[in-house]
Amino acid sequence: MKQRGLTIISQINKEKVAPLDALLRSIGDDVAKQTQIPFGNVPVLHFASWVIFNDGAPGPQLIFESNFDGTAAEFLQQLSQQARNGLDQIYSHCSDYRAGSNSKSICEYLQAHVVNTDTFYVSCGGCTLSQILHDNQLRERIEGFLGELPVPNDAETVRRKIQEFVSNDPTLAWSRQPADPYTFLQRLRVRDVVILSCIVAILFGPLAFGWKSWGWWLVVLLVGLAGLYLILRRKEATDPSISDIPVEDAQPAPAVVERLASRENRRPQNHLFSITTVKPGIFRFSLLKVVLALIEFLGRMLYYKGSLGKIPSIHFARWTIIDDGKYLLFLSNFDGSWEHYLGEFIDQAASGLTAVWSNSVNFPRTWNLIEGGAMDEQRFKDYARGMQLYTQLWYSAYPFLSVVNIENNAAIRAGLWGPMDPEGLNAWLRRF
Amino acid sequence: MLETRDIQGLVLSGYAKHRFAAFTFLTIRDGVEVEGWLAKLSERITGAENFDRHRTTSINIAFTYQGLVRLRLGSSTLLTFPLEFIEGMSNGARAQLLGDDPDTWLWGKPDHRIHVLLMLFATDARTLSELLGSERRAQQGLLDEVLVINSETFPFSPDSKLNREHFGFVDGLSQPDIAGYRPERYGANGPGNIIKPGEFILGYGNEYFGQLTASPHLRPPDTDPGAILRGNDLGRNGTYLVVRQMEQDVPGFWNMIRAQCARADGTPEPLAEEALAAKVIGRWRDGTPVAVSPDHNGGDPRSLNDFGFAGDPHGDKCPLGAHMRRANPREMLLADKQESITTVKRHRMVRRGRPYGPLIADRYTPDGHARGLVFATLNANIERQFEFLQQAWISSPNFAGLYDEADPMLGGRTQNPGGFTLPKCPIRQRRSGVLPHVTVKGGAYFFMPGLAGLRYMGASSLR
Repeated sequence: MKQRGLTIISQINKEKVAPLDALLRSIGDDVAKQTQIPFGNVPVLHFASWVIFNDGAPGPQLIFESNFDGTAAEFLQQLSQQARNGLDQIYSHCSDYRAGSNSKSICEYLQAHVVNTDTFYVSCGGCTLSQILHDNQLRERIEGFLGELPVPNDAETVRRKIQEFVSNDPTLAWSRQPADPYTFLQRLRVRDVVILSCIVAILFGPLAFGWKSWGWWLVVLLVGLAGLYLILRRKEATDPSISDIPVEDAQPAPAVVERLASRENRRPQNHLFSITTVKPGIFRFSLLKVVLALIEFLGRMLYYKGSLGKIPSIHFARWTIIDDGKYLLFLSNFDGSWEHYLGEFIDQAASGLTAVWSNSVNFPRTWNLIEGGAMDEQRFKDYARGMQLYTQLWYSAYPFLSVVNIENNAAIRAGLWGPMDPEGLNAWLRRF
Repeated sequence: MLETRDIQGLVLSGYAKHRFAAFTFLTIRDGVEVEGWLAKLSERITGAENFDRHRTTSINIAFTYQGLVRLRLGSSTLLTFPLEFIEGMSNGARAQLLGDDPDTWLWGKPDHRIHVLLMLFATDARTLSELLGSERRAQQGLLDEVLVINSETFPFSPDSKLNREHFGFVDGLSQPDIAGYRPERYGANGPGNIIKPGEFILGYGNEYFGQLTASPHLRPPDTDPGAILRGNDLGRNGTYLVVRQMEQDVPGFWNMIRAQCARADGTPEPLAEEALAAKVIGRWRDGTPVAVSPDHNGGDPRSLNDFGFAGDPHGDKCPLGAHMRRANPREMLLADKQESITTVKRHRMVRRGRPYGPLIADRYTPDGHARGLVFATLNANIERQFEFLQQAWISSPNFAGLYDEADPMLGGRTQNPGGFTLPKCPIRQRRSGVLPHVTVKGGAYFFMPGLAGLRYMGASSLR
């Protein structure tokens, strides 16, 4: 089944920002124990967060991030049924909220405030929450069994004993079925076909008027692209940038970072919420749209098996342009610390994220869209910290599983039954 | 080229011949001026230029952020220090990151009064106590001792050049080679261990494409009329020193290992104990890496650091979660060896730790003495080096694809399940109850200035 993510934005009543902040923090302080929002009762929800964006042009806004299985309508329905009172409590701080504690009208309210998500990324594509939890349970049960297994003699026997153990446990009967496949068609979007057709039409359409006119058309296109490239290079040379100030003066104020960090590293996973200002003008806006669409496409079609490029630690992430093109919102649910995450960004994926964030005001100086930028290690981190905002309330359905763990669990299940050559068998047993 | 004339000696030497040391943590009295003391002291500080082989003592100095405030550096200048240094090791969020519980510490809690760390080294106990005495006289009326940790190093065996820590293992084998500094002394394990100086000393290019690591500068820049500093760079040739007092429960550790290995009837299995302890650490007690020699000790003492994990991808020899593999994954952090090396080089540190407390007579029998390691490492970027290492490798439950383990020697975050996986063919062995027996008793971040920086700080007329 496919994973989706909703971004829901509501205006907060100006006087109610502080109480809402306090409310969200109180729920978020111990999200596993609180009862206002029974996240665990929504069996499709992987990660969620409520955060406040206070300083935007349209006034204070409440942003609700969700990452779930199945359709948006079903998710919102389940959530509003399970968390009616909590949602009512939260959204009563918003200026246009009138729903009351009626789950149907809450659901409609949320639905009405969904905004577009430009780039939604899921690392374990097709893995539903129930599959992730089940697969982990399977591994834990087998681990327990292996703990009691007397000194094993050979690989074949070990696997056979594991199979016998699982067969004898009716609560693990589901593991005989392979996990649902995540097919090419599920990954494909109608949009891909449309865009691809448009590109083909633009490139080759003028062929209809003969070879010669097509040749001219290509020349026009190339000149146009060269023009755009020159505009980009010029902007890159002249846009104001954090790289213009000495590195020792680039770090954000200590109090700001201290507040952000106070929310981090309470579990092995962390959350990152950041808002940057998109550089003004149609050029940067359009470029950003194109880059985000491209990353969305690549993420969906290529990087759905546990890592984005070479980064194996992002569960769900999204970029989206909000407030009529003014800001770029980034939300990420990742394994490990902030420093580790940012390090991985720079070491493994600098060009991709430079292509995105170079369209934001004050980003480290870039060349040719993807060069420089995040490679300016310290100022990039200073920039990222400076643009990060406080996460009031954040939920993870499996806070102790890393992406690598999830992929490993899935491979354990996938290799439990059926024929296996000796090499594959050894590799499979290495997964425990 | 390193400006060795301006670098404190400890950065480039572990002073192996100075077997005795005193870490003296000092507080500056309220309302006194210590610039005069500092100016004189700076002349006694051991520099890295032309070490006198026959000298019997060394002195080095470092400051906490609170110490710099007390020395009345300008507030804008202070803000050019990195945030983690300003906040300090016991800051709430940093403790959370490091997996520490500063409430239980003996020193270094957020309200600590430690300003200066004066490190004294000497060839013998008497020389050290004379040195300590003369430094105390110089401090009289100006500074008070908050804490003194005395240290004596112990040779692994009577004729060995290598030192041991309290659990009994050779320590301090893995050190980075600094690019461009005394290449004739590089180890044999190749370019992966040669690290750009900017990783350890401010003012030089680092492992991110030779960029300069952020160094504190004078703000406003015209507060150095005597032009003591070069280009207002207060940090130049300085670095950051991370100190942690790590208490080691030696009987606790060895009795835990004994219980893990004992036969069903309780009879101890000494050979199995040595083997399991070696797996936990990643080396046999004599320093032989288990990744090279999984079944026995006795490796060549000259090449104990010249190895990698490429021949042991699954951890059959050296478990993936062994202390040494977490502390330095070498070329096996990522799927690609070259990328691993590039990444690992961005998280290395120079280690200058020393043991404290007496050696234990019998490793299984408690004797009531406190003992451990004064962990002391040098790095130019605390957040990217020490803190990263501690969080992402040492204490991460998910390191190397594991599920819920932490460093079996140092432990990890608050709840440690004590799991330890020993990969094997056909199937791994998993132990539980491999609990850490090292407890952090205190710690702080220090700025260790270059000698010009130190002279600037001691030049009271400038403020």
